[in-house]
Amino acid sequence: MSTPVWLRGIAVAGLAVLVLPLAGMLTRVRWSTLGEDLLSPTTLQALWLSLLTAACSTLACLVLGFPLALVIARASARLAAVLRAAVMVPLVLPPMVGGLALLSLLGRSGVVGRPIFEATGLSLPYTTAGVVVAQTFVAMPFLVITLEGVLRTSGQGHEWVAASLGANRWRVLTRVTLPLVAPGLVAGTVLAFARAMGEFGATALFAGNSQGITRTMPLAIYTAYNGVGVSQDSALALSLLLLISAIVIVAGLRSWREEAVR
Amino acid sequence: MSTGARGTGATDEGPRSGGTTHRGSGLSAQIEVERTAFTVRADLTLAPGQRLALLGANGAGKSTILGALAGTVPLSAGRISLGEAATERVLDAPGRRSVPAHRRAITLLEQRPLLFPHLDLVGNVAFGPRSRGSGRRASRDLALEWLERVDLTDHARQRPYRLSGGQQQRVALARAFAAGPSVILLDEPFAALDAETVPRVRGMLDRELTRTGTTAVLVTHQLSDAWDLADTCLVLEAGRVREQASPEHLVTAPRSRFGARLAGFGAIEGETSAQGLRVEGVLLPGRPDPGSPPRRGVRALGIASPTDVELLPGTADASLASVPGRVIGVRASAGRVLVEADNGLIADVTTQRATEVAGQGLPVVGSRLGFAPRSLRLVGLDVP
Repeated sequence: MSTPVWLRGIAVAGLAVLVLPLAGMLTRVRWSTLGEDLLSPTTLQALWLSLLTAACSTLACLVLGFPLALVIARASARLAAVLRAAVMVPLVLPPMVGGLALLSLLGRSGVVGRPIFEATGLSLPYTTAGVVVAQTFVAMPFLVITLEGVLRTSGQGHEWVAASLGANRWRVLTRVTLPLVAPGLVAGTVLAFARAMGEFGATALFAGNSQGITRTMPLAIYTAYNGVGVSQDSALALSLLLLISAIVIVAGLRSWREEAVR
Repeated sequence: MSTGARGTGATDEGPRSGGTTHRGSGLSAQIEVERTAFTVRADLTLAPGQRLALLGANGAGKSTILGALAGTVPLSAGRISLGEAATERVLDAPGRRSVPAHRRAITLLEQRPLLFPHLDLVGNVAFGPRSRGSGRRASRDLALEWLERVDLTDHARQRPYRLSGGQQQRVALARAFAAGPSVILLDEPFAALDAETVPRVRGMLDRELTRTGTTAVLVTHQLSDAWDLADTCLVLEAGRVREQASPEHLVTAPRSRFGARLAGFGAIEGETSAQGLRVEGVLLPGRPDPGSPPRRGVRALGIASPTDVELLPGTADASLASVPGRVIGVRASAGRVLVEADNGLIADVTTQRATEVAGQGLPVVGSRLGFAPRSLRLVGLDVP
């Protein structure tokens, strides 16, 4: 059955809302100076900082998120529902609120932050490590939710058979469970990395916006439009870069999933 | 299909395949597992190389027993051990730490092949030997040997997804045996295969069980699987063993409701008396089963062959020794017409004039008729 014409009209409008702004942005990019804009020292600094912190937070997501996903997938239905809800909250929460929450916990006057600061003089906010913490907070749910779904659908049949064949728990985990959920692991990691790269709200509040230390690409873009830091042309160039990586990620995940299905 | 000579009764079952050295070990298990609906209780004793079939309806507790043996379902009480006397290895016992699944030498072959999709066939079959500490080369050679036994040498380097369901199950079979188990657990291993594929896979399984002398526990609800593969059958109902018999005995003279159903008999519950079974005030003629005669005045099961049950137009008639029943199914089987009633009896109406029965052609589902068994075999409701 074909969809009614008026419904298709609305669908086009919906698509336009999503696509037109991006197309509009392309019209503002100054192509002739694109190379210069991207390679200016402040831009490169933001780009490098983004890549570094996103790589670190993605690694943290993997190390912390895989065990968490495994525990949720193997938990009883009731416990799994509670844990899953706990993981979903940061996903739905405005990142700004996440930043405030991190500050309340780890800030210099925070519940955990104060004793640490008093004992060691170290504090997380307004440091590059703080950026990583903020990114991990907002990105980990993407990895956990994706991976948990894959773990649950793949079930435990293979693992039981492997154990009955003589494989101990470690061997079952590394030789059976991990390869079986590899597609989910890759998808979750890519999503988490993309989310970390784009993270703004929590970082701005928790880690601030200081050049070379916490000013990642999204913050650099924002700052440019406040008239300081990188130029607006550079901000547009960075945005273009983020847009292209987003397209690459979406296309990559798609073709990769099709590969995995075959 | 079956090769081994079989015992003729419930009392003289034993391991078959005389002459081969048994790689399998004896198994002794007193299993008690609490579940929400009931407690699964079963005592199993298997000699080395013996093959036991667990038969029962869905939810009767068959898979729970397999899980307990495999080490995936914890026992509430009981004891499981491999081997005998001096060589006995206790896997589960009260007050002891349960031996984990990977150290039990009990492998699992279930209805889904569950091959590892990221490994080729050699990698799949070599998984067991590698896990048990064999070298890479020795494991690979063993895997190739097993792939040859299941006729899949040509596919050795392929990934499982390229194979048909039957081929995949043959790989799973090879993988289970290559691990060198003492006991192999077969959980409806043919249930997912189409009818043409089953005999070949079943034949391979039978051959390898005999050749290796591996002890086996088979879960099935197909009589044909038990008939082809097992020495002994246990019939489970609601977590309890209701009957233990050789496949032949189960087919010819079942002693449980589920056994009767499998073998095509009808079964009705009542109270025993000197002349037979009293059901809803009607005395049905019957004689106690010589193997397990019930006491007088207790609840018991009356089992009747469909040819010994007559259909009567009226519903209840004490003088004709018939009990009422609502028809729940009419089926034809090789020229015979069988009428199934909600009271558990089945009547063969092939020789009865259909019009005589219902007054209007074949009895239809839902109609109420009288069922008159001419001779019931009476068995106690709590056999072993």
